[in-house]
Amino acid sequence: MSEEAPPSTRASPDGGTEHRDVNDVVVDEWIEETTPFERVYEIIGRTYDPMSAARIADRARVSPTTARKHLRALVNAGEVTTSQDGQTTLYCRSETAIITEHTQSLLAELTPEEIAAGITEMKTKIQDWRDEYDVESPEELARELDIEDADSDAGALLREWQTTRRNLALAQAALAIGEARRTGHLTGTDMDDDGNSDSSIVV
Amino acid sequence: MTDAGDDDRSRDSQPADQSEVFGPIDAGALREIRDLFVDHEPLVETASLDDPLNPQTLSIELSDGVGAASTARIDVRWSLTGNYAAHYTDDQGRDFRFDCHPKPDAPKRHFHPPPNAPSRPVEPSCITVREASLVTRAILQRWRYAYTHETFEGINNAENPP
Repeated sequence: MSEEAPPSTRASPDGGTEHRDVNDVVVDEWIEETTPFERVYEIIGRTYDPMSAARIADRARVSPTTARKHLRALVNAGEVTTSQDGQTTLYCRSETAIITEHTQSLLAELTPEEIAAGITEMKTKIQDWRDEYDVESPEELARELDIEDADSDAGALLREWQTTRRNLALAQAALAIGEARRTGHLTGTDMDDDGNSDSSIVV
Repeated sequence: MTDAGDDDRSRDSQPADQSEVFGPIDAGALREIRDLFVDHEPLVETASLDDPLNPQTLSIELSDGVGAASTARIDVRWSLTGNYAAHYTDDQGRDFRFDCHPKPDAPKRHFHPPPNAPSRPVEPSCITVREASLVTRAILQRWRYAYTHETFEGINNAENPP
């Protein structure tokens, strides 16, 4: 796999990049534009299946020692969780970090009312799919329809259902966190002394 | 340096009942890819998720297209499992796609060629990197190549002809 090989060739003497493999070019660019920590963080940020430090190091193009150092710091920060596979420690993105990242994106773009409306819409969608196909879950749908190709209409429906189910769970978490933040109770910075800050919720 | 490659091969030989699965869309990855497109490609007019709460697709509108085309769009999907589809279409009705997902009788990383990106037959993709930021850069590089040369010829060649 050429993606796993370290970048072997630098830009050609004339400074052009035309003759070089696109995969090598983008890896070089990535290494030039990022620090080892940023690359480890990027890889672990999209790691939902636990992976060893050696593999993360490979993909981040850093040494295993460097990967372990940064991963330990991220574990302490709550960004990463570990599990054991025999003697090997495996790392993956923590659920807390996934929820936090998603919540920040949503609360930056949407009001709580918009999130609540979206939650209703997603629930309706899922119920409509259940009714239309007479199955409880996208997995059951996949077995029923015997989907052969992700490119097919049925494959697209399966993807959309699985996606909607995940985004519904994340939106519900985001709404709850947003609510807790507005009351100020998370940091003890209540705006109202009477503990009932309803009046400050709707701005 | 080989274990990741080994893993990739094992992923390619999934049980038959999993072969069709693309996987749920990773909203965070779509936002990361959106920001990369905006930072790296001056011809990007807009780059937006179809639904901020429940995104399925990131659409990037380009203010110019390959050759005779005067506008173009790239639609990107990215799953939690690292599968993706990047679909180019322009106002001349021409399409191509760089995909990575299980597909019966096709390589996991495959290319739907122009001018109409048919579902079959597909070619092996020249993009072999895996991380979202690397795949995004590679797609941008291939688009830039076609745009600069005003032709789709060679767009799926990892090593550009001189």
